[in-house]
Amino acid sequence: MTGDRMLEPGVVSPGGGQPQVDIGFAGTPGARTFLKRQRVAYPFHLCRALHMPGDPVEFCTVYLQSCSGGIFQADRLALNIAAQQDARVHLTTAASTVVHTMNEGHAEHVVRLDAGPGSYVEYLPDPLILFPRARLRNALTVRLDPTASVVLCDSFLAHDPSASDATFDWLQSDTQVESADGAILAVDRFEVRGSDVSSGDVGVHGPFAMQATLMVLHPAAPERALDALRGVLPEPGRVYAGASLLPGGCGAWMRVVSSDAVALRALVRDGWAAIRTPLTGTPPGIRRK
Amino acid sequence: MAEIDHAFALLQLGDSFFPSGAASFSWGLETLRAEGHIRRAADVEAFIAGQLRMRWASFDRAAVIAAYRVGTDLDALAEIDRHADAATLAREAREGGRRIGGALLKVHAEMGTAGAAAYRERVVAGEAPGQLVCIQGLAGAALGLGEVTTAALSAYGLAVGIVGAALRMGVLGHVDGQKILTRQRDIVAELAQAEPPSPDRLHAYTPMAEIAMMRHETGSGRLFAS
Repeated sequence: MTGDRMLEPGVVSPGGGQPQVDIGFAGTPGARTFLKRQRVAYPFHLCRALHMPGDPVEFCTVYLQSCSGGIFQADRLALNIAAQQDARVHLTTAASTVVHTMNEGHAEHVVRLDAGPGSYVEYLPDPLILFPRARLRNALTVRLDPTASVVLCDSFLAHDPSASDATFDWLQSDTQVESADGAILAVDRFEVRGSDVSSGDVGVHGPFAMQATLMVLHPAAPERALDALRGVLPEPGRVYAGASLLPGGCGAWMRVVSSDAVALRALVRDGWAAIRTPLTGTPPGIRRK
Repeated sequence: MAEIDHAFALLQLGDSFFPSGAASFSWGLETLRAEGHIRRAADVEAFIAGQLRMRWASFDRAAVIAAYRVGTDLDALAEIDRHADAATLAREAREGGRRIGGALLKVHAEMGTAGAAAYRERVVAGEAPGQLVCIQGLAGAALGLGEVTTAALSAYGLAVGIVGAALRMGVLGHVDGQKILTRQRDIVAELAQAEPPSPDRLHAYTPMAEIAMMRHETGSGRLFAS
């Protein structure tokens, strides 16, 4: 495989080894969720579990940090996250993740998230910032118990620090939701080149340079999740967004394209807040970053 | 198949006279037009080219070809069908694919196209979604159209459907529409060179069209079903 060619479909590059992050949360109704298992290796650092003011008592917030300053060529990053029965977790990053310029090869970032019975998980990393000639395979697989709820965000924008109009080579993104028995419920799989984003083609990115996707996996009441997301959709402008039901009866989702990073993040936050209240009883507080 | 027979079959299936119901879908164009993103013929052309490059090449075409290759193995067809359905996240696109697929399947079942009646039983029983791309592959294989021709029919169906919607919205005239369709031939020919991804790796990236279809679900004054 050469540097600037996208991976052949389905090819998983040899990375092997153990995931750099392997963490498990355990919870009990009425008691704080805690980190029951953690194995974290370079380049990641896991902050201690926080219990934020205003959150329901069970809620545990964890910041996942990178010591290396982002994702670099040849990185093979793997994360296993498990929320056991009744665990309630908010997992985020401390900042955006820079995907650096790559002279050859590509990087991989593969996350597996298991949401057990009655668990509630928010996996809301800040956006990927794709530098010129970045090449990334980004995969997230969620194993979803029918009584669990999971809120996911996945977003990217291109940035050229030299302001020379160079852009990233490619991003392969694969978000897959599976039922507890492994049946595929919903798949958001795309491959995009920087030139596809900057081409301006209406229907693809048009005038919008960045994209975010918020999924609310809530098999118990997908329509409720959709109503919450629809409630925050803005009138078309610098942000263009829509929401609908996901396949497989597993929840609802919102896709957003934007030419304004602040507005994009604000809408994702609004979507998250709109979901948090009906699903947990309280809106999210301010997260310091 | 004799050349003239092949040509006749292709004309029959590709004709808008063939009752598939596809003409009532705009695949996001109606909302993009209403919200100011589509104003003139050049915008429609860019929209179609984007749909071909970023959706048809790696999703529709891949599913059509996979369905064509499994022939009358209906279990394998249903597996492809489920992959296509699960990977179509915008509800109107997913339900539109099912509706047109179901209508096409019904016609083929009544025409006696091999495998169509048996597959329709599965779709009616809720055992398979009946996505259009899979029914196109099934019908193409049963009628011996050839894999490339069946894929071309799928590309043509997508492009002409959008041109037809744009015509009815008054964004372009008939001659503009034919010019746009003619210019898609090179794009489709180029895209068809690549080996398609396997059915479990179908992928597409048309966020604005998806968003438009999702906004269409709650839009007012709708002329089209998507």
